[in-house]
Amino acid sequence: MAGDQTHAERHQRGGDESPRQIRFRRAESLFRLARELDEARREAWLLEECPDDEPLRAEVLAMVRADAQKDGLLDVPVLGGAVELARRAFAERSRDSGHGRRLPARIGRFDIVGVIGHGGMGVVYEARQDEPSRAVALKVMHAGRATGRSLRRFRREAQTLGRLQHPGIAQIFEAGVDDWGEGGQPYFAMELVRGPELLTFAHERSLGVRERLALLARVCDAVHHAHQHGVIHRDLKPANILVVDESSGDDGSGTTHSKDGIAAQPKILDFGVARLLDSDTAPITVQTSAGQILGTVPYMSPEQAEGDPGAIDIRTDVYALGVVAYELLAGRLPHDLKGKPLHEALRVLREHEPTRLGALDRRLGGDIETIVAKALSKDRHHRFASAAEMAADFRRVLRHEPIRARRLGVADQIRKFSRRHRALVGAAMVVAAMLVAATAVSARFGLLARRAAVEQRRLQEIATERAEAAERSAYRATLAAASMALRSHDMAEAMQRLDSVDTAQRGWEWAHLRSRGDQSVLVAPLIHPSAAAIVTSADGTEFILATANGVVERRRAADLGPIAESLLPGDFRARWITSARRSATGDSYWISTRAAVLELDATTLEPRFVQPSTGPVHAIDPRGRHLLGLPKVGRSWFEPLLVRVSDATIVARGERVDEDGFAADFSPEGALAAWATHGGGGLVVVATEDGAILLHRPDLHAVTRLRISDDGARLAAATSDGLVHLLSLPERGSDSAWGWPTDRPPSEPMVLRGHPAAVAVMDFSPDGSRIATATRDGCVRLWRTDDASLIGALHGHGGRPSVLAFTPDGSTILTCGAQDGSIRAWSAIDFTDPFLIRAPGTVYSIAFSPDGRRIATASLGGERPVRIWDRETLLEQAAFGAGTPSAIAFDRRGDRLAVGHSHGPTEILDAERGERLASWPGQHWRTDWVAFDEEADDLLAYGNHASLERHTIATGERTRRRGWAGSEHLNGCRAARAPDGSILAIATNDEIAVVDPRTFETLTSLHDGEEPLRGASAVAFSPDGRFLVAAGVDRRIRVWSLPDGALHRRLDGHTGPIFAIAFSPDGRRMASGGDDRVVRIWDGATFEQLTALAGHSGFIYSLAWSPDGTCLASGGGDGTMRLWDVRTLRDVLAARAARAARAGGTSAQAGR
Amino acid sequence: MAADGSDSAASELLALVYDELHALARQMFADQRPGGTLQPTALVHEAYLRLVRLEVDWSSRAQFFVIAARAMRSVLIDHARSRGRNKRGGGWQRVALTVVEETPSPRDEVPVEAIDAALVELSELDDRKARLVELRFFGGLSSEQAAGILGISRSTAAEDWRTARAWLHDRLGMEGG
Repeated sequence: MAGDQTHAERHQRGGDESPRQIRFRRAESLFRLARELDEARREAWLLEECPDDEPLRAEVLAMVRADAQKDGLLDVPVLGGAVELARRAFAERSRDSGHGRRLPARIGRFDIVGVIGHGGMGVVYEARQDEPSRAVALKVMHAGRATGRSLRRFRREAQTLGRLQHPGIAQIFEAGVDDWGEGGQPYFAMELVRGPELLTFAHERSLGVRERLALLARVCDAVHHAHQHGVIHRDLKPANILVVDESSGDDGSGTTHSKDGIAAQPKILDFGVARLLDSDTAPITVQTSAGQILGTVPYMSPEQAEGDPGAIDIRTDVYALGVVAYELLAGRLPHDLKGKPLHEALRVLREHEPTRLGALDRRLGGDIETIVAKALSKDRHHRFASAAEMAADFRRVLRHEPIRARRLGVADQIRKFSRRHRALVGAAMVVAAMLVAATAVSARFGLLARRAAVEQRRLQEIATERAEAAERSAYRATLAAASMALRSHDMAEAMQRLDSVDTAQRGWEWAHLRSRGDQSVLVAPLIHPSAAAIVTSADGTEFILATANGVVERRRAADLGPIAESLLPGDFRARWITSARRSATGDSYWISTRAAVLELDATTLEPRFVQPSTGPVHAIDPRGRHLLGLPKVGRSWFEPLLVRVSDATIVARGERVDEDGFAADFSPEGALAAWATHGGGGLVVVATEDGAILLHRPDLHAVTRLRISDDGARLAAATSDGLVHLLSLPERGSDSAWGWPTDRPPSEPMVLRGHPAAVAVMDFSPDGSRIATATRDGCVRLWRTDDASLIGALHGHGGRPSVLAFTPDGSTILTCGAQDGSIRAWSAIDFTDPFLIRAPGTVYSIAFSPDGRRIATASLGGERPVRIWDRETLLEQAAFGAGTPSAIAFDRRGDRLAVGHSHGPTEILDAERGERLASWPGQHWRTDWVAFDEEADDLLAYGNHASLERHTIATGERTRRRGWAGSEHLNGCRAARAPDGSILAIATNDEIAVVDPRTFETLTSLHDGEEPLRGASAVAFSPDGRFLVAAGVDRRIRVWSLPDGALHRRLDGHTGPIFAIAFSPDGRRMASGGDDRVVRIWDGATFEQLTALAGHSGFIYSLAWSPDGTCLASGGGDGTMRLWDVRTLRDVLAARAARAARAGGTSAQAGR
Repeated sequence: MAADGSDSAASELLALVYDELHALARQMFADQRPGGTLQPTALVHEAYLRLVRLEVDWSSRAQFFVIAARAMRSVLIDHARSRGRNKRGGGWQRVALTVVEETPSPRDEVPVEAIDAALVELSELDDRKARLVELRFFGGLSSEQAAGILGISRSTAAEDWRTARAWLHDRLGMEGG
């Protein structure tokens, strides 16, 4: 091996050894000699050998001491000889491989008829069962180590699988462990399916595309059935799907063609077997041969290829279904892995996109291609959320209905784009390095030194430039991905992406997006971590926060600030709080811990009542009468118990399980108790009065959280697959009998879908009409309980919240972030966005006051169309004016407003009260731009009739120049004044004219080559005066450099006419907007588009930046002004609260 | 290119090692179930994927053992680190491992990260000794087997081991027991 050679060479050369290596070698030789000497002589000898190196002597002595010590850490291999065991197993297997196996006569209750096959996991026999009399396939696993505990789990899992009863799934009848000589042999008895494999069947019958689709839909149905029972296949492939031709009458039922048009029933084998055998306590060693693993690879999802078992969920099966569909339809696998080494194959699975189905066969293009591509998405979030959705889309194709799956989502595309750009940055760096190297070489090979230097510098510049360009494009991609993630409420993803941006790269748009990530209305730091429960007081003015460490904090609801705290009495178990709730009387809280139940006074937090318990308590009812716990009984059993507190009587007990883990809740009146154990047994609801079972849902598996609504009418059960099942609870009738039989639920539960992981916390609103949930993406989702629809998703937490509660009035949700150490409040009713301001009509012009504290909008029509808004609170300050104002501007001090109208007067208004200070008679056109000329105390105005006017305020005189090409039809015909006031630029119908502001003389006009510039309507100067920018109906923004007037850039991106352009005050950003309703943000230096801000539902007519450059205002035909700010929702609410407090103070002063 | 025969033998071997690692890892972590530590399945999947991702000519059986030992080492280290991160302060975390002998018996906690760090240091001083330790401690090979793989004589392997063991035990502060 290469490594060995270099190693050997290094030893031989010796001279290359580092001083440390030489020293080590010396220590080694000293050690070898020293250890042979007896202790008395050793030190003296060493002193002689190296008198000047005390540390070396000490080291050698220490090594000798360590050498003498027996049973050192390294003497027992960490894994006890894994490789040696493997070697032995290999040898044994070679010995008895082949035909030496005995055929047992009987296994369990089964007579062996013959061998169907040998697999990596074991042998499959055909066998007969006497009772009931049937032929079964018996899978017997290779022997392995099995403990009692793990065998129990094995049996339980097998029972779960046994509940999978679907015509599309080969049913597992029984699982057991049989000892026939070599220790426990786990086996399964399953339905014996006689039929060809899926691909063979389709090939032999020469099935058409429609028949294949129908088959696939049925496969999806079966997979979905299993998913509903919490079973993931994890190894779906055509070899595991057999097809039984029911038209041949095998089952004797005389099945005719079904609604799908085929009578073939696919049967999926080995459902859940992977889980059974792969679970960490499975009793057997899975003898998987490398060949079998390789056979499975093409059907492996990217998350499986990543080797991330935590990422495996039902969408892993959806991916495999996509591969099966691809193969069944196209006759080949999506990825060609033939002849590739495994590591390469896995890389291909993770990174490569398969060939489009439509490119292989035109009949498979369009909808079919879309469905399969969606199932095959690399990112599982983009796949079908369930196999049922996939089946439904296949059936829509068969019925010629539009499908639900969309072509590759924008988010997906953006992620890909982002990935590509990251690669680009790397590539540019390489280019840079190569260029530098190239010039170095050219210099060495005799180019004139100076020329080489010049050349090198030039190349370096190019390289740097390229690297920078690539970095910028990576920044843009990151922004796009982040805003996409924000829109899909994936806060964690959005923030992670934003935080990955280098500080130097972060610009205004970064801060804007970052601020959008927090929608909480209040935030405060957590003092004590590991919050276990949050409970509001009866009046909602405060709440308590209980932690797993026994601290109970009282906090104010108004600002989340702490009031008082106390520590529970007792040892750590007695203080380990598991749940808390407000007592029925409202003046105390009931707390359960792992060793007690307590009642705490709501004010003093002093215990009023303490009852120690022998086992952990998980929930207590609001009257403190009953508790639910999962105590350990015997060595390894846990038993759910409902206990009456007063006399410690067990009212009800549940099925014993061998796993800790419990979800429990009481109804608010304490009449109902609900529980579910992680270890199985399903969901149980009992009456606390008599322990009668009111509801038992053994099919609801892996319930992680339970919650009963305050009205006792609903129960929410969150399961580990991210779903929340909403069940109606029965009401007890007048005769004290419960309304319906316990074995049948009154209706199928409604299911809340869309959580990326198991719901960690949830709570019903007090009226039961809504439920809030939260999971690891940190997003608080609010749902309606009557139709399971999502009302809103609130983000702000940087990770999974650990507790969540509604306030008693249902207006607010409180949460604590387990990871970000914050406690937050969210509005559960007010989803209005303060950054979205409703104006009385189309917002045609916007101006910030020079101090940045007010925003003026001019609306084309409506009641009092001129409005003044407070920049801090975003609330209306004043409303005045009349007519159809179309242009607005503040004077330098912010006292006066210039207002131009459409077909109306030009006027000067008092900016505070709206009184008219001056006015000039109406025009027959629209004034699109007004500005004060402070030097002359004049007013300048320009409009769509290409009429430039100067109004002398003192005298009321008017100077006017017309003669440019104007048009009545243009939307916006703006002008701009250079930063130093020396020139004006006006947009006309066929040019951009640069005009002397005093004489109105045209100094020059700007063009784009030979092409006449048609229909420009927006124009702006960069704040440094170096650029003049204009745009209009041709969707293109043009940048001219000044003063030479040379065309500098053409910017494309808008998909419709452009009506507004504005530079940020520092010139680093430029915003543009128009017909396509999107505000585009450009870099003010490179003129690259950085991001697009979507939100307006009408044309964008006006744009303005706040003087501090932190806020961009856009106004549109939708009658709104949107503020793209770097402040958060909370900042605005805080400003409003402060303003309200000040107003209170002011009025009090005024009253004095 | 390796001949077909040796190729398939190597993959068989790999599969077996994988299974054994799996079984052992399962027992190894059997006592740590609550609290969400790395699952044995995950551990071995990870080890296995690390093996197959390496671009290695599997025709060399010796090389395989080297790689297998290294894979186990890196899996254990990653595991120890991830646990370390989860605990306050990080630092050296002792990972409780169960040694599998004839009957599983508990073993003192092994400071995997510290061993790894010391091994890295040793490899800079004497790479061969570090590899020997890796094969024996992480790979579970006997001294003879390791000698065969490293292509050194048994006596050299024994001498190397004695030095490395003494040096490492000294480094790890283990001489006191």
